[in-house]
Amino acid sequence: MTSENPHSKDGSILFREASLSVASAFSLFQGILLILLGFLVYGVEFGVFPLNSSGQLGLLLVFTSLQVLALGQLLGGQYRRSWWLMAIGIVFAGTGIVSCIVPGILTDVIRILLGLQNIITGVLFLALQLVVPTARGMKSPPAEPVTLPPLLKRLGLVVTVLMIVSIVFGLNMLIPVLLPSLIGLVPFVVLFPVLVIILGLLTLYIVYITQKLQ
Amino acid sequence: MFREGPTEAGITDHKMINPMKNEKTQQDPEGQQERTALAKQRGEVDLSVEVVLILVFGMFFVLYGLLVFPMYAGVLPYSPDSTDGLFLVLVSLQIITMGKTPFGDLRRSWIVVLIGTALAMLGCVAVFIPGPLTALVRVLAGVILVFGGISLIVQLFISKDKGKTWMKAGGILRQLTIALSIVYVLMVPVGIISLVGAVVLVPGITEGPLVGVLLLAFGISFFYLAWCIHKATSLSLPEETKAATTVIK
Repeated sequence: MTSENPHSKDGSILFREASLSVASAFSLFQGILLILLGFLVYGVEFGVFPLNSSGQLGLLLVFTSLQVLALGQLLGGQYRRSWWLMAIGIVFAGTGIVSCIVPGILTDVIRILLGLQNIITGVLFLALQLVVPTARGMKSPPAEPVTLPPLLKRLGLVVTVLMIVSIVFGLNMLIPVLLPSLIGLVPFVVLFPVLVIILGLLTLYIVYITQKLQ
Repeated sequence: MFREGPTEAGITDHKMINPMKNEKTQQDPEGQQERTALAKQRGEVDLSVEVVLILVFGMFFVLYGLLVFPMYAGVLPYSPDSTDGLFLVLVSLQIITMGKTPFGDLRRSWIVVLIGTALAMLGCVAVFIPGPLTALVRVLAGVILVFGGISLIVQLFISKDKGKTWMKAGGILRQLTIALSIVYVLMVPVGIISLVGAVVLVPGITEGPLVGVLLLAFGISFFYLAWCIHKATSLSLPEETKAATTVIK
């Protein structure tokens, strides 16, 4: 499957070198995983098949751990990959793996972890990328107005929507633990899969924009 | 505490963009020593994506091996679908991120990414929905391990610039060859166990403790391999080690 020039534009696009960065490859996987999960949850709610929530949450946590370990990404930010961060990633990976192998024992713990992670990610992003720069800009406005390229503007908008959806998704994850009486109510039943599918689609769209920016 | 800190660059600092700068440097074999030195200076852990995935494979098999004992004793329940599904997802991540398949390295073309994505979807469905895919994912995991192991060990020792050369070179390359050989050889019995479903489905075929010990040894061999690859790449042995890192799992 090798050729002299892997980047050559000749031949089918299928056989051309995929110019996906590791982060984009992870996001591609995450987007597909979320969309698949969203549709499957509908199937579960209509009684078509059962859902293994231990496995589902375990897999999401293992994926989070890979982002932490490989990229230093946690809570929406990129961090220096210190041994502390590695330790967090290893604990996440171990917890997720055990939850996949042994059903039931870690479900609630992981639900809380993922719920909090999504809420904090969204809140931190909105605070640090939107509120703080805006406040700073009002205090000391730049001499000339800064104009961002349209694609970057669109990326900013999509990421902001993604973060808002992420907060709602996080709250939804915590509801079964905090307010179990809400499970089974129509808004909860309908909202959760829709949120997951939107999260997945937005993630894929961000991969698309990132590829275009490259 | 560990944060690099968001800059005023705003949206371009978001995780989707920033990591690419990192990764491009991570995948570039040149200047590895400089990167390692820089990472050391910053107190950063300089593990490549590949080493991270191998470590997670190691964790998976070590934990699986440890859990087999209480599962066999009936103390803990077992979810075969999501165990095999998670394994397939980890394999698919290797294919999608690096083009490394269980049967050897391929150029990461879109078709390879698509195959990896299809495998990821199959693994995810197996993790989410217990029942319908039990046999399929089990057989697939077994086939990947058995035939992948055989194929990789053959490639390692038939290829002129791999195993034979590294064994002669000594040092970390010899250790790397040993680590790869152990992982590839152990893939075969672990795959056979998966194929016959010996862990739980047909308990008479293999004794639980034996399966547990085998899985533990397999998991530990991944840690050894991860150490060898990390050591070899940080010593800047790009050409020799580039081909060495086909591992699966």
